[in-house]
Amino acid sequence: MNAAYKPAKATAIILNAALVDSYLLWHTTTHEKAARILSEGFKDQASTRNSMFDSYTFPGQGVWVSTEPCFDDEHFDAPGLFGFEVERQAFISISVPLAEMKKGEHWRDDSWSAGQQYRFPAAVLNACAISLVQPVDALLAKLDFVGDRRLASLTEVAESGRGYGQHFIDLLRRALAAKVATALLEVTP
Amino acid sequence: MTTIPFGKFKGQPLAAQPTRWILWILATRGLRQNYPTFCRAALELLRARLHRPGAAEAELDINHLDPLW
Repeated sequence: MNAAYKPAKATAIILNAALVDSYLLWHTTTHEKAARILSEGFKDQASTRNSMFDSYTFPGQGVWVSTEPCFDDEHFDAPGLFGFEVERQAFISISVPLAEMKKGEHWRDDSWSAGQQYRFPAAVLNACAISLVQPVDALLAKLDFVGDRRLASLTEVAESGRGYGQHFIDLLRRALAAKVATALLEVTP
Repeated sequence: MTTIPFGKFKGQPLAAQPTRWILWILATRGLRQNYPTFCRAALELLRARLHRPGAAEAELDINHLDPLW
């Protein structure tokens, strides 16, 4: 097995979620596939990870999810799975009960930039609450995981309106505004 | 002249990007499948830069390490 990919039981995430009864995971796909998932459910798939330097076929089948929404954009150290075109992405959130988390395999992959990756049997995810999340709400969720330096850089992009397509700039402005509004609500007595 | 066909730097010349960006983008998962022509051009540029003695070291500022790091 390639040393970069190590399956492990999902113990770390269970410890992190000790005080909650479910855990929110994310699946990113295209709009067409998202519509199919919502009507027919997830399907187990084999997968191969291709990079410039290696190719690795994962044993078995399942559905990939992660602890953060994955934005295919350079600002988020994108994996390039969507050709760096964030407009092509659709976001699905899955609320997985804590008791079901142990059915997922955790994969250590240093090239993945959206939190921790897990692979679940489709049947497990299909029994959970699944929602299509609007890109602006997925971006808002993503901002919770972004450090101060990157947040400052994203704010600069939103203010200047340069360096990105209008679609992403609009998305970023709306998500940042919602984040500020949420922060204000938290400090307002 | 090769331009970048995607993302943040779309339409900008590849040659204007720093070496560290080219190294990073070549290592991303989806590049080879999505943009093979761009990929070849990036490798050619990288090859040329890395064969200029001292150029990549200077760009990466490898001789002036941050003492606080």
